Amino acid sequence: MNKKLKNKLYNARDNQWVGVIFSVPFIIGFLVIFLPMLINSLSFSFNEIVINESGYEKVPVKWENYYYALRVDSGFVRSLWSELSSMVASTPVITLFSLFIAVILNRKLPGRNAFRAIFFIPVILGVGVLSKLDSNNSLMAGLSSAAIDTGLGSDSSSDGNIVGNITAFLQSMNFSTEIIDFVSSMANSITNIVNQSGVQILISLAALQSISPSVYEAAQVEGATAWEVFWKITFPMVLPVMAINVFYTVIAQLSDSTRWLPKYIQQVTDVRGFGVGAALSWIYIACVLVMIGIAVLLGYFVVKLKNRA
Amino acid sequence: MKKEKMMPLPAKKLTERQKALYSKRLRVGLINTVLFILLLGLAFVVLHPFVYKILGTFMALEDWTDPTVGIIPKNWTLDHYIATLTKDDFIFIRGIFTYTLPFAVVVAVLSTFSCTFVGYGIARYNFPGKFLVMAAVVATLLIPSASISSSLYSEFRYFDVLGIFKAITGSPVQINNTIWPMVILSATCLSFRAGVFVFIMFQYFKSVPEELSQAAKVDGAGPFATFFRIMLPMSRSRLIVIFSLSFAWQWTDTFYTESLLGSAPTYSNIVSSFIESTANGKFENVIYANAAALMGLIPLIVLYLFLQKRIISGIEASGIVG
Repeated sequence: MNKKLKNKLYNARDNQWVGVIFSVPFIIGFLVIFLPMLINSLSFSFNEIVINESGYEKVPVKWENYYYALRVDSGFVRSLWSELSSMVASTPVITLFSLFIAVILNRKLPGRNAFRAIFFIPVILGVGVLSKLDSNNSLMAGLSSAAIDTGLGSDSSSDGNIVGNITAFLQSMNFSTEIIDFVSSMANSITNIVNQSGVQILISLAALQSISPSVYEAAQVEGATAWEVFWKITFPMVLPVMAINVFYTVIAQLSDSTRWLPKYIQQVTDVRGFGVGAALSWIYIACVLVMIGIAVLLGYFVVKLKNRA
Repeated sequence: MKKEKMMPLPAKKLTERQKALYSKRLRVGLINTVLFILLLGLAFVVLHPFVYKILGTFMALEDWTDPTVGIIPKNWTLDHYIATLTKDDFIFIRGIFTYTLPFAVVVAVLSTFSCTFVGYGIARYNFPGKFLVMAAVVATLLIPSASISSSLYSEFRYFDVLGIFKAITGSPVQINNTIWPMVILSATCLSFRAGVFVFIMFQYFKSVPEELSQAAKVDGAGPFATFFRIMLPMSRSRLIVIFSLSFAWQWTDTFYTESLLGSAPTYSNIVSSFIESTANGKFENVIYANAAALMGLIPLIVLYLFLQKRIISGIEASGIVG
């Protein structure tokens, strides 16, 4: 290779600052729209907002909005708690469920392409106004007399029997009430779990398909059982992807405005003004960030322990 | 004599092996049957709300109060659909064509391009502060949308960039109820879950070998020529994924539509207004809401049927897994 060509190849890397130009749309949007919005919302939470003709006026009230949220408004703390605990409970369930379905869909089953398409439907059709409609339908079905309860809602009430049986069975086995409550609430929300795991199923499926078949062949030659193959090969190989799934699940839950807490915050904002609403939102944000921080730290320590072992 | 003694041995061995093979096949077949039934059940869980909705909207009102009617209507009727369509001089159809469709197209095109751009920038270049940009993308995803809704509204109700409009016209401009907020948000990767799109493209462009862009540069292509003439055509399948997801999510979106387009007759606003009027005890409105929701879904279903294979294989192959 002559020196000139070598030189040319060495120079073949672009100036790294070009990357800034590519990222400019987001950087501008973040600095001009998103960050001011965040700061604005934070400053709202320390003020009372009075709307007049020329805009709005801020009347500083210090921590009063936060005081209202945590001490006066009795509903907020309760719904915050239930929101966060349902998020903690449902995230691992959705992640494991999507892995389970992906393992099944990875087998040679008749009609698996059709199943893949069906499980992806909620991703396209189950967000926004349709989930709002579904929750309204089930609400109406619950409120109205039995005569018009034809199951327009997504939760069909006939599940009750099976779940009741499971609950009775677990009670007879002397499980603690927390476990029984968890199992029965998860069984009751199977519709939600299936509807929320569309993208995760596809991601897990892709991870499973990226494992080379020769690894499985080698394991079979060595005489590994299916159980060992799953826990010693499949599971470790898809573990990094599980982290992505957890992340996606949390994001999807955070941006779902039909959940109970966002609706509650909206109601409070309508009644008590932007200031109190912003304070409620910031308490929510803080809790979510703390939770994610704990999850990241836990993951970090698990990886570290594993590396040491 | 000796030969006869030898014969049965291999024959017996073969049947044993066959037996093992058959029993294994039987076991696999049994497991597959059980799993197939399980999948059928779960598919039913996904599909049954749609079946209920579709059949329910064809029921005459007296079927709704008739306890002997299950899910299949006794008196089929199209009245609910006609009532929904003709309400307020066809406002539903006008709303779809003047608001929902153009908004979804504009948002999908703009966010596809902006997210691809940004994903390419942070995947292929190592500029100082790149980590900050990535952290900011994650931050836009992690802030619950409900918590910025009030400032989102006031941001565009009293819109101003660095005080420019105030200096010219004396007051900030009001651009909510127009298309501009959505244009601005989607051109800057801030539309619904746009951060996910940025990461899809980020992972994809990470997986493209460095030699490709080096070869382009040796052949005299600048960074933008490389992007537009090599990288963009290459990533077609991912672009389809992003485009269709953001199209569908904007189509059914309630969050941005409610805070920025409160009064416009978009698809989701019409359905929401039917939903809200059910509180007044008018039960027909529940049916109208379902009928309107179903009719507005038809374009999405057509799109999904056309692109279904490409969306699913695109997500599977998309760098998310990388």
